[in-house]
Amino acid sequence: MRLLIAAFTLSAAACAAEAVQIKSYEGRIDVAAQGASQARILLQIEDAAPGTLLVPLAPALKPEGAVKLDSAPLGTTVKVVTVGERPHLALEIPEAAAGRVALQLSFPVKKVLTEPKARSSGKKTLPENSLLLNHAFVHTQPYTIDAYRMAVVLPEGARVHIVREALPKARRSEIEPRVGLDGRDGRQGALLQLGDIKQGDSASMSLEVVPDHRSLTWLIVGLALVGAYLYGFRHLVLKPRS
Amino acid sequence: MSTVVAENASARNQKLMELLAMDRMSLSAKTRPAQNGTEAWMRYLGFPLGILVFLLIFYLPSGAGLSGAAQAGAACFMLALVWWVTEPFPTYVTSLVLMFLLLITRTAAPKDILEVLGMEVIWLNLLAFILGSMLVKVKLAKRMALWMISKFGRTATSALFAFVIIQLILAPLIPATAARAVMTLPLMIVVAAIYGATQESNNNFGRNLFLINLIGISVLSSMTMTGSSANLIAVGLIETMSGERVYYMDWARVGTPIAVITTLLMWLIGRKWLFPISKAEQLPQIEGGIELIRSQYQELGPLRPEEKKAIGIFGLVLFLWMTDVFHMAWFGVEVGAAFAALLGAVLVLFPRYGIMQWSEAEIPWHLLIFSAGAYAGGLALDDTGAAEWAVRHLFEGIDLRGVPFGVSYTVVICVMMYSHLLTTSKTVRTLILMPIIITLAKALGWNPLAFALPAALCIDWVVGLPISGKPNVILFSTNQYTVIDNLKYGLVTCTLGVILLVASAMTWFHWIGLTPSFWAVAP
Repeated sequence: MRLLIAAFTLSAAACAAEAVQIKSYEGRIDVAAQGASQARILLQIEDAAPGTLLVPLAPALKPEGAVKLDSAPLGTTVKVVTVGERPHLALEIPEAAAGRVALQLSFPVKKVLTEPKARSSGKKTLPENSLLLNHAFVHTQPYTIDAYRMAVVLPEGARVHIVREALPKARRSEIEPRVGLDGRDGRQGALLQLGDIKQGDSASMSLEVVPDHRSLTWLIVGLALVGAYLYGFRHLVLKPRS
Repeated sequence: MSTVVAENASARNQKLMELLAMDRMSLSAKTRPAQNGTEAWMRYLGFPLGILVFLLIFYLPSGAGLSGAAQAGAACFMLALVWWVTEPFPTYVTSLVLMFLLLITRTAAPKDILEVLGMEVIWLNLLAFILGSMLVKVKLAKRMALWMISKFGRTATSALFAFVIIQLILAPLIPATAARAVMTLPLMIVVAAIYGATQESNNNFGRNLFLINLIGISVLSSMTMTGSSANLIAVGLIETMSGERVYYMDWARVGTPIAVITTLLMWLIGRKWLFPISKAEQLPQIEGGIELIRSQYQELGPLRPEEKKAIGIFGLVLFLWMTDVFHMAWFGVEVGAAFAALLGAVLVLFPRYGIMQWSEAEIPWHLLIFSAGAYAGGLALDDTGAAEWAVRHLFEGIDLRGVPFGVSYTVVICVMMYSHLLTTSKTVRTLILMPIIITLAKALGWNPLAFALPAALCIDWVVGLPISGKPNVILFSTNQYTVIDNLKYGLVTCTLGVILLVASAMTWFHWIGLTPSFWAVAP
């Protein structure tokens, strides 16, 4: 019976999704140094049909608590469902709200920054204080997403050491990089963006995050080398005493 | 009396033979001693200065759009740049230090750093030295140089001009700039030797010779849109992003005059002001002068079989370089510049039927290590986004709204021209900058072509540093000029290019409808 209901829900969702189009899928993750982070998603939907609309979420954005509709047409509801092991938002759009719909949702997400996995030999792959932020979005639904933008804002005192992955590779016609770094309110962030996403397309980024301060060892060693060299090699420029 | 004359003639011949005995020359890995007090001080202070520059950039507050690796990469690269310019160590030691720093600052992965030694440019460099050794061994390089000098080398000025003409002819025929450098390198080395410029004893003729060839190889590539693959990428971006079609002649009619005039002016400026050639250096550094060279050329007699074989091998390589656009249709695969040279090397080294053995090839590994380190640093700047960040901030830092067209145009040309000092790849620079320039033109209300086409003409002008392009690495490997010599000559060339492009925008670019009036303000 459950299977029948699930199949019915999915087929209804697929029918509703055929004409629909997401003009803009914007998200922002405020990463907390400790505990749950907060995610906010803003959707601009065109030609929304009444009924269920499934919107894919990146696994890192799987809600850890209730999804709150900050702004939405009256009667719209949302719940989280898992389709093919991937989290989705199941939006229930009422008859009266069909057409152009703008929604804003917010929800807590699990710890976004994760410890890097050690090799099977137990050897670490990254330094002690490095954390990873992985975000992989796969579009599972039959409609098109015109613009997907996911911003990540790091906690204070953290910075991106390196963008380990930014996929798909930027096309020649794209001006902006796939993953760009920026700053908001004194906090560093990253923005993953991709346009014209069709079913099966994906966008992902992997960032290595480190504390935003440099070890003083470099300074001490550097200055010591400078001093030692200037003294030890002064004969290069001083005239020998007669 | 007759005995004394005969002894003098014999001594002159001996001197010429020594200069041309290139098979006995090797590219020394020893550091050149400081030439004067200033250079000694530069070397002494270069080491601490490099470290201080590194620390300054490394500890700067983190830029919002800059990753930690990009900041560390910029610090490492600047340290290396200071050391390459001031030379407290040999350049290849600096390269090794740079590679180690890239690892311990976690700017690049070990695999990415070490793999640079397998890059096409390094292979091409290695194979170029094998082909060059072949030309030297069979004395074909000597024959060509003696012929050229006896025909055109009455003075250093005309010898330099002959090379300008050679590069002008080769540029439209062989799009690969590195291939052109490889082809003409043995000839340059022998002609330089005739005028007394060797790697042990540099002189201003040698500086002018190698640097005018560098300008000829790089700048003359901007004559046509097929001059380099980066030019074609720029054309593609212009057409895709602005909808403006760029035809071959659109490019050639603006690109050719600018490139040719700049090269000719540098031929003049270089030998008159930058590295003045004294009256004594104007003549071949051989007693007996041009007559002796002519008689030596006559003495070589007709081509020997091994010279003919060398011509055949070099001709095959040249043929493959010139016909690369047809390879896919002919062979189903493109035999790139490096693989064409590789085929040549196989034939040269082939047992029994080849021309020489591996041990006879003069391969300066220290220079390949220098190139590898330089490329590792440059790629780290590109891969971490440091180069892109710097270029974007250059534009963002200048508000061009409401200013006359000519001001914005000049800024765009300057950024495009001098940004080659920040990156080692023309393609990467084109992919970063051209979209920004086209978008900027649209945002300011100008026809994108008015900015984009003149800016695209600057793509190939990668002449500022020995690491700015493949030909630069190949020519620098001769030890005939320093990093500072290259920087001086390159910056003058680029500035001349900017002046010519700005002057053209004020005049004939406007007359042919490419740019609006120089002082026009966007509506």
